[in-house]
Amino acid sequence: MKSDDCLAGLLADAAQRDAFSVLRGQAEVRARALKFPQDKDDDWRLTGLAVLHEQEYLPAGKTTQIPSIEGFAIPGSCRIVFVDGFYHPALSDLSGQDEIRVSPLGREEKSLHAHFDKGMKDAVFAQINARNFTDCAWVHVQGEIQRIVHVLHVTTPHQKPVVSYGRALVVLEANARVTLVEEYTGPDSPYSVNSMTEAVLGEGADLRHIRVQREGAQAVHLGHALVTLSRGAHYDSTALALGGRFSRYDQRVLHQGEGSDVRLDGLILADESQVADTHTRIEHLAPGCRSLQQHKCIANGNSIAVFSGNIVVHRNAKGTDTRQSSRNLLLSSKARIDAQPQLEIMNDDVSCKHGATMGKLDAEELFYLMSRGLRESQARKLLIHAFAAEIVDRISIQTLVRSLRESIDGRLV
Amino acid sequence: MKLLEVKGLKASVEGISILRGVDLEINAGEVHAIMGLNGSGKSTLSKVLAGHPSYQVTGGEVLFNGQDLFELPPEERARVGLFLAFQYPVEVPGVSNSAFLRLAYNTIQTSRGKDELDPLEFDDLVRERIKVVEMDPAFLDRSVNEGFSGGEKKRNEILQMALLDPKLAILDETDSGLDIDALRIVANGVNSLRSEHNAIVMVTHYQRLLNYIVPDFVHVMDAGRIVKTGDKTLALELEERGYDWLRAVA
Repeated sequence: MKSDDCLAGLLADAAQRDAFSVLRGQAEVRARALKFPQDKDDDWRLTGLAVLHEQEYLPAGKTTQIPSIEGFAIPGSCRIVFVDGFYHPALSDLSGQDEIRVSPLGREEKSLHAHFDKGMKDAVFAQINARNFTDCAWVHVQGEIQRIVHVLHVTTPHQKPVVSYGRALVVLEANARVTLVEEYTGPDSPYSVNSMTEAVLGEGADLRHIRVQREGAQAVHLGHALVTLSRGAHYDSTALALGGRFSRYDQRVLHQGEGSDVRLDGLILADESQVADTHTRIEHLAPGCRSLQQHKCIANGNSIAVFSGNIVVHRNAKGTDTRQSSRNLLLSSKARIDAQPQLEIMNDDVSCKHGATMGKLDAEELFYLMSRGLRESQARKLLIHAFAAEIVDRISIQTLVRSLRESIDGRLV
Repeated sequence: MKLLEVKGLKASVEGISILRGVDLEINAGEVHAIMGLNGSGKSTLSKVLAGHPSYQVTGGEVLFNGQDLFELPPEERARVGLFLAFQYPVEVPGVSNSAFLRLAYNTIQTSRGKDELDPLEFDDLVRERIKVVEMDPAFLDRSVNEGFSGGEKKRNEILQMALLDPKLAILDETDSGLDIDALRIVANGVNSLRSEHNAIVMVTHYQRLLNYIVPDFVHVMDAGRIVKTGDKTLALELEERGYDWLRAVA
């Protein structure tokens, strides 16, 4: 397919008639103006878009299937499940809410609309999401109690490849706290998912955001997140890209309020012919903010892993403190990792540090482990887990960490 | 019973010949010391026996319990009872010491047809064995050797020896970097593990370790060969006279 056809195909879905029809119309205009990305585009040149042209995806409809979500449950969480992009009441559990309200599209508090679709207007797939989203997780947090909100996106098997849309808006009022776990999963047949998550943090609010992308082996996943911090807010994010044939995650964080604090952790684990790309952009717009970023790529087989981490310090963002580290583990000679830390600094009262490393498994470490009786495969696995652990082990939800370790093991056979 | 037979062993690293025909025989119940100057080949001998991938065997043979050692990859050598205490124990960040010890222990147990231990059972065992080296159990919860002092790393090596119960333990300069108290503790640990069923090879520069672990045989290496073998008095003689008189003989 040519690029124009890809775009036309994605915009051919019947526009939904709902409270957002004006917004959807505007998004369509922007998407047409932005055009389908090209390999030569700066933002996409490392990724290789060929896979997006190979397949036509039909818009997913509401399914009658009830997929199994066994193995995904997080005890004590408030769970909202979307199947093929549609809210699934039977699988969801929105009970016991008080200070946290979670609702699907149509049942949301209208006051939340003021925060909806506030950015990434330059990202064509985010605009396609705004044009086509079928449902949304509306999360409104007013309390300081620590509770997990679990947003699970499941794609079901289809005869012909489908595209579905995930959408979430998380609004934390002043001093509110919540943990948001987003997960994406599906079958091993071809399909596509386009997701957009917006989070708005009020003054002193605290969002712990864990994003786990473990789509099926043939999936195309295009994910977005836009996070805005008010004064003194804290955002702590762990994003894992484990699945999919082609995945891309665009995460943008805006320090809009003074003294806000961000930690971004990321891990890509790519094997076989997977392509996985994470683009992050942290914008320091206010003084006295801190950001600490730690990203790791592990690439095996003939996979491609891309990390592009952009930190922009604006003119008035005095006293900015940023640290960025990108560490990468190349497990095969046919795999490729592109790691690009980028700093744009527009004032001189800043402390910015960044570093990138690229390495293979350490031969001395391998020999040491093998000299104690471990098979080479066991020793490799242990070292790869150790490399990933720095990211994975910061997740304090034990059931999730256990299942993630299994996912990682499964990818390293 | 012959545990190890080294016959005419030659080995090189990066094309440079280091071992030039080593002959050595070790029986169960014996303690051997291999001494020699830097570059004489004694550490290379340890690494070649353990199967370090950087070294190429270019000649000779080694039988371990009658079996061709070079047919076995490093992990199989460990499983049949060969243990190398590293001169520079490797730091493995992110791998917890206790998890590593348990994995190693269970791997060896399984290969000997014995039952694995679950984490709780193993914890009991390791807390018992750790007393052998008077090591603080807090080191079990840290990453393998990461940030350990020289002495702590060496104790961790001997703890592994205590857990894996090898037939032949090669201690490669286990005394280096140890103060006198740590040396005594490590030596006591090793002595407590000695039996008539196993053998120990100490590779060392100095005589002082041999005051604590008394060898039955002392070998002197020079230029990739064992040039002299004697009893423990040879070590004292070396301490007094240095190595030059042997080099002249060789």
